[in-house]
Formats: sequence, C-alpha cells, structure tokens
Amino acid sequence: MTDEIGAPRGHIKDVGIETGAARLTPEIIRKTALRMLHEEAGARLRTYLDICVRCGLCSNACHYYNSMGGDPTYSPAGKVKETLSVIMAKNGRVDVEFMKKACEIAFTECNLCRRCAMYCPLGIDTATMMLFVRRLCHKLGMVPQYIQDTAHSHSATMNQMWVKEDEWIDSLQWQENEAREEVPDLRIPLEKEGADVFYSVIGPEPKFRAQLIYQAAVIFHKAGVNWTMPATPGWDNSDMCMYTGDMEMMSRLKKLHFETALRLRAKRIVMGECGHAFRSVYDMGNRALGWRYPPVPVIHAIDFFHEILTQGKIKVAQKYEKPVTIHDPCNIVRGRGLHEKLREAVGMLCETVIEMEPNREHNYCCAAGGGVINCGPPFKMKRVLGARVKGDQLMEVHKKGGVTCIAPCHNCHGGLEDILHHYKIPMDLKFLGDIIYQCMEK
Amino acid sequence: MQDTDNRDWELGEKTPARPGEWAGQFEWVEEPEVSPDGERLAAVVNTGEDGFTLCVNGVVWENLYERVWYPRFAPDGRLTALAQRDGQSVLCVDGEEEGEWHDFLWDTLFSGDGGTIACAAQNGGAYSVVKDGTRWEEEFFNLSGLAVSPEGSKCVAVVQVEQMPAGDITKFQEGCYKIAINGKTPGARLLSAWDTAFSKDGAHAATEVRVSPYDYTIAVDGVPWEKTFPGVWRPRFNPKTGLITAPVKIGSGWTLAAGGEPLWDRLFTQLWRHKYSGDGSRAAAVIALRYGRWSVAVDGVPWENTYGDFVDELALSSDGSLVACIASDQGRRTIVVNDRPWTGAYDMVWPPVISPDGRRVAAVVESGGKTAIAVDGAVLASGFLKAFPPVFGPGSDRVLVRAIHDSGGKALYVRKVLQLDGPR
Repeated sequence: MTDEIGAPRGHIKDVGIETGAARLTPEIIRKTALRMLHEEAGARLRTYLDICVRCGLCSNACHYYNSMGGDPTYSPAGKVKETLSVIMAKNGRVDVEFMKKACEIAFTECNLCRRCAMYCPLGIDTATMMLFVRRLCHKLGMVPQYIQDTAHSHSATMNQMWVKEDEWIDSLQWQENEAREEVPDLRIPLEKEGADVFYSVIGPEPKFRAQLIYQAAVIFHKAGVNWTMPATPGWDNSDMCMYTGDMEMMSRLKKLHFETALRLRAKRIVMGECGHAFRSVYDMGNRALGWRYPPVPVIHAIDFFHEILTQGKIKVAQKYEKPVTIHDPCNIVRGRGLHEKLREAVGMLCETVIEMEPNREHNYCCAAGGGVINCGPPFKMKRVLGARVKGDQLMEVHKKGGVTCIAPCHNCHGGLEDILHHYKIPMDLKFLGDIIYQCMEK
Repeated sequence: MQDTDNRDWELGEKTPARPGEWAGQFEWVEEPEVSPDGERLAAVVNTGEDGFTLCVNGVVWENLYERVWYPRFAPDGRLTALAQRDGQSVLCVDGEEEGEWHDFLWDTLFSGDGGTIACAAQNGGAYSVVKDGTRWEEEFFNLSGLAVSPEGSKCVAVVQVEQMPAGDITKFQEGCYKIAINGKTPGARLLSAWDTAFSKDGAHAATEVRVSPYDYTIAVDGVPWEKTFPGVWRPRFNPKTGLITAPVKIGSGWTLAAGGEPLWDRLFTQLWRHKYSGDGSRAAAVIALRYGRWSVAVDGVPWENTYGDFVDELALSSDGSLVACIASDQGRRTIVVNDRPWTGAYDMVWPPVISPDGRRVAAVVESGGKTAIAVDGAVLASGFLKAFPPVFGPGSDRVLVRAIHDSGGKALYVRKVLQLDGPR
C-alpha cells in the first residue's frame, strides 16, 4: 500500500506470525473470535465501533498516518476498519490471510499511544481495540516472534530479558562495586525491610544498561533516600505480556511485583525511567488483578527526581550546557500527566530547552512504544518510517541548535536512536537520570 | 517449628547488643538481624580495608570477605550469611564456612526447625542446589523457585532441562522446564512453574505450573493435574487431610479448588494466598469481593468489612477460631482479627503473630518513623527505631519484645519479656 515510500507492508515475513498462521484454519479463527467476542468484548468495544462516525479527526492525530503520506489505511479508524470491524461484522468468519494482516496492523502499526483518543470527539480509544486484536492473535497463537520470545522470558524468569536469579543479584553487586570506586560508602541495599523506597527497573537495565542502576544508586545515596531492591524475582516492572495480549501472564507479573514490595514493607515503589512498565504497574496490571489503585503507592522516576530536586536533596553543581529538547513518553504524559514536572526538573538541570512542536500531552510517539520495537528487526524499517514526523520534530530542534534529546523511557530511547540514525539527525540521547548524575553535586 | 519453651521467659529487660557503638568501630553497619530467642543481634559490617564480616553482639566473625550479604538466623538459632571472595561464594554458618565454594550462591532457606539449610547454586553456568553443604549431583540450565520441605528431607526447584536457542518460541512452547525434587525430575515438561507448597510431612510437593500458552494447573510431585484453568495461584496442603487446594480461575472469577474441582461454591473477583488452620479444620483466603474491595473469606464465606488498598498476610490460629490479616484502606494500614479491624491505623504494619492459645494477636506497627509492638490493638511497647516480630511465650501470657531504641543518641538493642494482662 505504501511501498512507494518504503514501508513493505504485508510483505514482511515473521516467524511468529507465519508459524502461528500455519496452524490456523478459518474454523479455529471463528471459534476463537466468537468466544472472545462473547466473553471479553464487552459493551465498551461494541460502543466504540457503533459510534465512530468516520469523521477522520483521528487521522491527523496518528504519527503513522502523518508519516505515511496520509495513507488512510494507517489512520486509527482505518486500522480498526481493517481489523476488528470486519471480525465483529462477520462474527469471526475471516480467513488466515486476513488474520495475518490484522496481526501485523495491530502489533506493528499502532503504538497504543492514545493520541488519537485525545482528538476523537467521541472519545473512542483505538488502543483498546488494537489490544483486543492482539489478544485474539495471542489466543490464536500468532504473535510476532521477538515480542513473543520476550513474553516467554517473562513467563520463565519473571523478567523481560531471560535474566537468571543469580545474574540479577550479581549485576547489582557489580554495580555497587563499580559505584564504590566513585562513592566509597555507597550501597545498593538488598532485601531491606521497611525502606521508604522500593526501586524497580526493567529487564534491560541489568542486561544492557547497568550504568543506569549505578547512576540511580549514586542519586539515591546522595539524596539520602532510604531505599532497597529485592534479591528475588519481582524486581522487573516491565511487561511485554500486556502488549502481546497475554493478560494472564501480565497479571502474574504484576502480582509478583507488588507482592515483593509488600513483603519488604516498602512505603512506595519508585520505578525507573520506563513508560510501558508504568502503564502496566499503574494502570493495567493492577486493575486486571482487582486493585483499583496499586496496593503500594507507585511513582515514576520523573516524579521522584522532581521531588528530590525541588526538596533540595540533590544539588546541581553545574547545569547541563548543551541545548536540550524533551521527548514526552506517551505512557507517563498522556497516561499520567507528568509533562510539567518533567519540564520543571529539566529546567533545574539544563541551561537551554528547545521544545519540539507539538509537545506535552500532544507529543508524537517515538513509534517504538506499545511493544512495536519489541517486534524486532523484521519490522524496524516500517517503524522508523512510521516515525517520520518525530524525525521532523527532532530535525527542527536540531536546526534551532538542539544537541541533546532527553527521553525518560527505555523504549523511547530505542526508537529515538533508530530515528536519529535513519534521518541523520546529529543529536544525542539522554535519560533524565543521565543528566542528574552528570550535573549533581557528588 | 521454633521451640519457644527453652527460651528465657523471665520478665525483665536485657541489652545484649549496643549497635550504636559499632558504628564507630566500622566503616558502616548494615541492617541488623535478630536471633529467634532475642539473645543475639547481628549485622554485616564493613571493617574498612580488610573487608566485610558479621558482627554479633559486638563480636566479629574471624573471617573477612570481599562481600558478606543475606545474613539470616535459622529457626534453630544458627546464624548464616553468604560470603564472596575472588568471584566465588560460600555459605557461612556461625562464622564457619560450610561446604565448598561456588561460583554463586543465593536464596538461603531453612527447614521448619532449622536443621536443614539450602541455597541455590551456580557453577560454570550450571545450576543446582546445595543442601547442608552437599550439592545435588544433577545440574540444569537454570533454576528458580527453590523450596525446602518442613522437615528438611526435600528440596524442590523449578529447573530448565533443555537449552533453548535464542528466540526459539516453538521450543519454549514444547516445554523446557520441570520440577526437580532432590535433583530428580520425574514429572512432566512444563512451559513455566512458580511457587511450591509441601505437605505437612514433606512427602509431597505441589507447584503452580503452566502447561500450555493458555493452560495453568497444579503439578503434584511434578505431575500436573489433568484439569487445567486459565489461571491458578499458589497451592496449599490441608495439614490434616493432605488435600491439595489452589485458587483457580473459572470464567471471570476465582474460587478455591481441590483436585481440580471447585471446593468453594462461589466465585470472587480475586482469591489468593489461602491458608489453613493448624488442625486443618478451616481455610481462609484473601479475596476481592468486588473490583477494588478486598477482604477475607473463611471456608468460602466472606467477611463483611472490605478494604480499598489490599489485604495481606493471613494468619490462622491452630484451631481456626482466629483469623488475622493486614488490611489497608486509603493508605492507612491496620490489623484485622475475625473481621474486626484494630482501632489504630499505621504507616506500616508487619504480619500478625497469633499466640499459642489462639486468643491474642501481636504485630509490629510503625507511625511517624517510630515502630512499636501492639497486642490486640493496644500499644505494648513503643518508640523504637526498629522492632522485630514479637514472640508469644508458651503460656500466651508473655511477649518477647526485640527492638532497637535510641539511647542518648546511640542505638541500643533491648530484649524485653513483658507480662500481658489477664486472660482474654
């Protein structure tokens, strides 16, 4: 459909989708879809489909639509029309090829960013519908390979990256040793009961970005925070099962995360700089288990950093001099409204901020969120092309002198790295913790 | 079970340790642990250039290491810790190295009486279990969920029995995990497995398992029930009958099931963490009566009071006549006994402790940064920097308080035996 601008839609071969599809028949699809429509669709989903007036206001809200030259099949309403609308209208009587296409759309052409919901005059949440399609794909055993592998890791190890129990502890102790070279009396307190803060991170931190744990430890230490991390599973707050539609595993992951914080009698959970994990812990996972709100208060790192900066627990030795821009992660901005605190924190740390337009809750997604980047290399080019408008935003900032993009989310980092590289934008990326660590009095 | 009869139950106060004075002797002192009888206080200390060790009542262990962590008193009073040097780990028990050095040791666990000590072990990337200093002969690609039977005869763990190429989603779904019992893996291949419970005599182990991408059930000694569910939580054995029960999801609700069939006649929005009384006559579980309202069901019958945040840490008396838990509503935590919450609400509450006669409940509570011991809702001793779980005397009329308080700017550990008022 949009081959002319380079997105090989429908031609990507993914092991998970292909092997899943090979096991399917129209009858299996129909039975599974009917069961899901009967048991899980609910009034909200049917209402969304019934009330959509095809006004098209969601189209310009979608970075895929805008990035793909206004191709209407990439509009939110268009994506629903190509997937769930047909499944419901035909009572699940769709064929295998249809489901393969629906799977690709739901998993790789929607970041579940909810920007469109904000612009829809009727409040239709396309993300909810795309999640329903993903769950149907999960029930059919047809999920992109890379994100399915991540979901398997969650199941086997209770973390996203196949990190074994000893590797987790060893990574923390390694980072503690490293940090003691700089701060000799620093500790990463393991299994400390009754701490004020239970600090949880996502699987990639011990696996690939261990320096973030180091930096967090230095920040906590200097701020005098009474904190702990567990030496057991339950440390990982991330959740790709939420995005594959495996809500049973999502629930199990969140249960263990909260139980671990409760076991250690922690006063609150501070989560590292991750957006989707926040959505899972603060919004979807807790509610799936029956908790209206998280049983232990949860705050994102942005909230926490803002708190210790405004309370003067961290002093800024020298502001970050390079002009920065701020990327607003969807799940903590539209999902939690942290955009102003993020700016206040950045303002305390950096000399010059050049805003991307639009920004705050109107931000464009990095196109990595919603598990899209976790679908892996087969879909990378489509993802990067679907983020052209984000590339345009960043290029504008670069032209105005912007040097550094602050993105307080892991998946945003992954997505933005690819965007900067593909669109040849000479900017670097930082977490907010990177900036604090660099600028703080130590 | 801990033998509380042989402890010093004389009324009065001792000061076995002065941790405030340790601070001046060492680079730093880590979180203290207390012995079950309250006679010893221990903490990991950094001695400076020479390394780490344990300080017990002011006396340090002889050996120094690059790292000492996870200090834990066994129920029989032995003090254990994991020590590291040159990239190797060893278990230390009362200051002596027990067994061989390993590439990594973690998750120290004890049998009920403390007679057995086990750790998870990794050597050269192969995973095993060390029980009382002896390593399983069998090794695996990964190991998690270690559990020790109450009488110490068995160690059970979830083990990976086949290596998976990176990203091989088909291989994972064929099942690469099993339940290892003392190193043997007699049961079925599983997609995943988690928590294990033992029968009272330790003869059988039940584990929550995943047998397909969509099916969960309970495996008994590694063999899954035939009946599966879209969700299960940790099983328990009835201590009297040996019946295995587990929370299971049926449709959109949860109930307690036995042998794969529903045991309770109603569904709840959520149900987990069930427990039995010592005599097996009653079962209680944490439930969500409806979305966002948490409570307890006893033998399937819910309490009237519900709580918005959570309910946790169920405890039942031996005869089941008393059921206690922690409940939290709007950020304030308290203890609830037989559906009646204590009048006090706290910033933090530790698990309820029930007296041997089943009539009293005690707990550590925290408000405004100070901890206290509360019994039956009334504060018995307060103003502590840190308090450890209270222990009832054999006659249920005395309480052992183990706590650290501020004595002229220095932390002082006190061991008090306090008399309770007359019988309730």
